[in-house]
Amino acid sequence: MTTEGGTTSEVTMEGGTTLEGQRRLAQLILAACGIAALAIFVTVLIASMHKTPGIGGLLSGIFVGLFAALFVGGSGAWIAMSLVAVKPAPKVDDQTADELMSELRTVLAELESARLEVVRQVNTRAMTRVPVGAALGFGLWCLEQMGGRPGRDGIGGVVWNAVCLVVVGAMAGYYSAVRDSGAVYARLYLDRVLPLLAGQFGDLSFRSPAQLDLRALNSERLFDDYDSAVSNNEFFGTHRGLPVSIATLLLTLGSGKQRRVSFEGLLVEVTLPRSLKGSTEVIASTGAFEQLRHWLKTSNRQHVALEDPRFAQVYDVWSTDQIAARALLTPALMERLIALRGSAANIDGRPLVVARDNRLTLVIPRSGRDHFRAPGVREAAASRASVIALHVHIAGVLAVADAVIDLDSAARAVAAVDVLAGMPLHA
Amino acid sequence: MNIIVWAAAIVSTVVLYSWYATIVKRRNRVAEALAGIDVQLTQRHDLIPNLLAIARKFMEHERALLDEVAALRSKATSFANTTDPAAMAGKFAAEGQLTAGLGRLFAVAENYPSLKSDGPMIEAQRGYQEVETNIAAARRFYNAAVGSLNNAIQIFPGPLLASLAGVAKPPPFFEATAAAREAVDAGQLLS
Repeated sequence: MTTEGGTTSEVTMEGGTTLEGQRRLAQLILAACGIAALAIFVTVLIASMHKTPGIGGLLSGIFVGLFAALFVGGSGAWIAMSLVAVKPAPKVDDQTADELMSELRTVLAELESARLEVVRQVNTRAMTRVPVGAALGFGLWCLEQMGGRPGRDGIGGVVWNAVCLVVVGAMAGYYSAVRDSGAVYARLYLDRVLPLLAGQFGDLSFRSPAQLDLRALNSERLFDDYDSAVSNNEFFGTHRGLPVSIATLLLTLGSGKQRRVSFEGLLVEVTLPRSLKGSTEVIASTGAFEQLRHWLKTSNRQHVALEDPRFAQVYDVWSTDQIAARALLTPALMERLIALRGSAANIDGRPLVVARDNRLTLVIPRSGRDHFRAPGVREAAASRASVIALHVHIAGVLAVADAVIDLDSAARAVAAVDVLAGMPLHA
Repeated sequence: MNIIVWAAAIVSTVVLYSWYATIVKRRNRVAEALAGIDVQLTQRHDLIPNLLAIARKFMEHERALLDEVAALRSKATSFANTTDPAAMAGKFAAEGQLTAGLGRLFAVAENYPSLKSDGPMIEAQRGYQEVETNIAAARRFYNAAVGSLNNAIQIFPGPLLASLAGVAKPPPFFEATAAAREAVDAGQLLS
């Protein structure tokens, strides 16, 4: 089960037939919604002009018809886009899945016991909080009725308002009952399952929280300003013969309603078998003004003008050592960084590279994704789908580490030797 | 009228001085790059005696080649700390010959399996590769610095100020040796 080097070999994607089918369905929905939107526009326009002859009827018909047509067309486009954009969930073959479930059986049984206890606690709390929430909702409705505003929607509207407020209150009560226990259970699940899954990929382990040297990265001015940093998941160990660390990182700025995400993504650090010195940063090229700003912030660094104009168009390089920067950024590595940016396989956003001595860190923005999600408390702990999803996710993250290792020729050489060492010798 | 003349004179002086300062800064950058190459070359020169000592244990029949590499090293070392642009071409040529000699040594070493698998030799080769990568990087830095200096002294008013700034003759670019440019004879290698 343990894989050597190629971690993604077991991960397969569903065939192209399903994708093609989804694409056709999306086209059909888009076309149908387009026709419906046109029909609605024409119908509304005719009806409006019939009801109010003259320019007034024409204008209101156009306005209302356009609104309705855009609503229908936009809904169709949204459905079609979601059909096309959703990538088929990767899966592992049945044998691998069986082996995984077998190896995790003991832990999953323990987690199931913990989950049942959490569910019992949640149910106990929900017994009181749901009725209290519903009562608060009903109370709000009563206050609204006592306000003396005349009900325009009749008895139906009044009842509808009451039902909505009571249901929303009950849901809020249930959410408050499940929230804390659910988060604790999710953390427990990940802390128990992820180390075992990481072990399936070789000499790797997992820890939470991650042990990141954010102070050092801050001094490189890689990130925008932030107030809080959360890094709950880190895989570390040896991958393809090289020390690696892969951690999720979420940086936020502000608090409350002003809170916004400053950075969300992965930090992949590989210790290269090189004797590089100094600090080199490869950052997104953002124009002369940003270059000047960066220079002012990092006065001990010099701008490194590299020969490749395509690279210079995409990235700016700053370093404390002109020669070390070029020793790292060989023409081959520059090509690979450009290719890595364009590769949509596992990486989105623009990778940013920092080399501190012989430690190469790749910062990969991956916004809007839940990197490692535990199943909910209402789902069985031994859920095969959840375990496989986590396994596949780790394989995907290691594929990013592979990309970092493949950047450097010396690292590739060590990885190749490691693969050869793992091969059985035949007489 | 006087004001216009004065303004033009002041602007011209400022422009000329800025240009002059740029040329001097870029000239110094070239010297810095050259020193960077020297540091890496010195590291290579320091590695070679160790490399030859290890090779000598296994390659008794290749004494001529080993002596040749030792002589090429001595010749290259004699150019150490050369900063005169006129002597630069000779320095680059000597280093090119040394690179070619070491290349031959490593090629011949392929015929000695015991040497190839010798621990200190593997370590020495790894160190040599590392130094070669750094030398290539230092040369790229040097070429970038020379290109930048050439732009400054060849674009007007650069030619007027070049001699004044001590760059009467632009330093040469590092170029690959003739041996490195030669096409590889695959047939000869495979025979």
